[in-house]
Amino acid sequence: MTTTGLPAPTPAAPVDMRRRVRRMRIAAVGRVDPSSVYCVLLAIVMAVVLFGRPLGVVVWPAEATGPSVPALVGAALVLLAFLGALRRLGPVVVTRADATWLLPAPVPRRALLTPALLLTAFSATVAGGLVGLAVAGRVAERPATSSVVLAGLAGGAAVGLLLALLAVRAQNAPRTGRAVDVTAGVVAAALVAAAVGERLAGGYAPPRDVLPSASAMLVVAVVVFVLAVLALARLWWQLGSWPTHRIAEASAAAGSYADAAYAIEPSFLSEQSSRRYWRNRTGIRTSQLLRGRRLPPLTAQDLLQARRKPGRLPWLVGTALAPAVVADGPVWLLIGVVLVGALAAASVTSEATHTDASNPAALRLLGLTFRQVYAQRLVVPAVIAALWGALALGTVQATGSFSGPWWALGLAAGPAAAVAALHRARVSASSIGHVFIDTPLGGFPSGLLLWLVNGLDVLAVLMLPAVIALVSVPAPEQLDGSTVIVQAALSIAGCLVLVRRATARTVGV
Amino acid sequence: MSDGQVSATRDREMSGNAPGGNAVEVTGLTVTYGSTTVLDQVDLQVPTGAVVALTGENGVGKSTLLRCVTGLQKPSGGSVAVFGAPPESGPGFWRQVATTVESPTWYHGLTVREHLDLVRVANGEDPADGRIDEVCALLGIAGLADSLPITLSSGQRQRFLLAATFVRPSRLLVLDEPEQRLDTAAKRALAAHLRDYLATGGTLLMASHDEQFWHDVGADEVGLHRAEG
Repeated sequence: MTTTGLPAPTPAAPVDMRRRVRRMRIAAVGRVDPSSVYCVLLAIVMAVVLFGRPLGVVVWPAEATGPSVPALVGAALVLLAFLGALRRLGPVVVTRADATWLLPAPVPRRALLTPALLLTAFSATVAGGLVGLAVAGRVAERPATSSVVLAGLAGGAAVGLLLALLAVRAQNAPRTGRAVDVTAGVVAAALVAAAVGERLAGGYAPPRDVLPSASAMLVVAVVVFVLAVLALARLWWQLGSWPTHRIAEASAAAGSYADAAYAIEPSFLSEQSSRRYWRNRTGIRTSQLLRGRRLPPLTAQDLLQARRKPGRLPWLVGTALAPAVVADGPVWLLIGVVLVGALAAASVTSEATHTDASNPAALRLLGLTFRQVYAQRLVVPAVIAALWGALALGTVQATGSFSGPWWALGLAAGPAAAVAALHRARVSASSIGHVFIDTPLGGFPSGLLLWLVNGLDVLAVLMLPAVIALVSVPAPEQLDGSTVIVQAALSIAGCLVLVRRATARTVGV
Repeated sequence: MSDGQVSATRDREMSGNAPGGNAVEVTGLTVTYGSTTVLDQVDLQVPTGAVVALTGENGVGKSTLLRCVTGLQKPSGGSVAVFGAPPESGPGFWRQVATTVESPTWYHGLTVREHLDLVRVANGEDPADGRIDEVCALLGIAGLADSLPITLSSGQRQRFLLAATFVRPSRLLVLDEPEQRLDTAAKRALAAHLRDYLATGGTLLMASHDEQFWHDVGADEVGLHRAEG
């Protein structure tokens, strides 16, 4: 390497750099394969044909039911989920190649990041607009006027753009980012609680005249939208001074998401997300819990883990209230929400099991047998899942939909969920499905499909008494104690089978 | 060279059979990766209470040999005995053998000190008996007690791995280049600690590229090299 006293050269325009890279890429691998273009277009057409009509009905139903709490809560939850997705994806990122070659090079950063910012703003406008339209479609009387449609679209787009602004701002200010994440979780839990509260109160339909006129809303929405665009322009101007590490970190995370999607290995995502969380977690002080030796060591470890992720509590409470919201819907939906929710609650401490499954070196250091490991690691998830089940089914019971000791049934199902969560944490998509399913568009690894149902299959078997009770809810008789006892016995049997089937050996080759 | 074959030689013969027998006995060990033979008919004896340093250029199979000794890799041929029995994955084996041959993925959310407490408690030892403090001070990581492992530098992680290995009880230490990424003072402290371990009856088998270091530990050198022709 040499240094010179010459003045710094004029930075190359990123457009020229990209053009040059593109030329080199074409020279190396050729232009885009026409068959790939055909496949992508075919996939888009198939998606529109398959999902266009049902989605259209969701966004604009034939009949407006008037303003309702569940519809408004649903719209708000979709927007919060969109905010969450933006936060996880960056959103201001560059490709991994650009992060390696162009980010540390003297090219103007603003121009480099403009495509990502525009894509974020565009997707936020479209997503927000669709949500706004869906709300208008449920509120507006038929036939709807154009001002109502425009007010819905503009209002939703304005909210979407504001959320995008928040996500971009949070990316460059970690403390704000953490506050945004926690607030979003709390708001989501509060919204679900409000929906449940509405059900407990016997339903509430806000009067149609509670909303201002469509033209007034349209004016407000347009003003907010214009202000949001101006704020976005200001943010764009400030992009030039963004520190490299913020963009590099977000780009690496987005790249790993792309890797996971490409390799169809979703468990990779949870590992990445977990690493990012703990790398940025501050304020941890060594606890005396392990040193006190009052609990088995791995149980104490799980407790510490659960305690150090307080942000999950609002989500757990929120999901526990979800069964009450869907209790009047189809029974398969209720069963699905209960099974997935219980599994998610029991998976709160599954990080350590996943770590041991991918690299058992730490377990060898501990010198524990598999049997000891599973016995100790079942305790905390069983307690969390039991509390979740009691809250979830107890709330359904409190709304008056079901009668009998449903809270006890939820409590009894907790250990079953813990067994399923431990079983799920041990495997990755690539480790359970090596068989490729042939489709007209090419081979598809079965791992993803198996991974999606992995754990749920175990849980469906171990929670059979609860599932049968949920299926037979329309029958007039109330839940009796024998179902609870059978469920408790099956849960305990599941735990015993898991522990007994584990070998009395430490992890080896 | 280089036909892909290696052989083990002893620079210095160890005198006769030790009173406690051999802690490690490797006979005719062969390991192949595809068409490449990494270890070919290697013999090695490490008497109980002795210290042996495997040396040799990169790729001659030092780490592979250590992995076979700890039972983490199945050899293509030959046999390995540790304290008279084949290495296996039972708790009895891992109560006697501690190794840094593989680097663990540390648990997210546990601090450095909590990891060491966990290792000590899981192995049935008292985490508050001062042993952890002593090892942390020796390796210069006493100030990292509240840190999460994911935030450590590579050198700090190496010290942390050594600390986790030293705070658990063992009769045989199998260390893969324990001196790597350590500064000079830390290497001296580590050598002194390993001498203490040997003085209390422990056995040490390690791979090393640092001649000064294994001299300081007092190790016998076993040079692994690719066989000629």
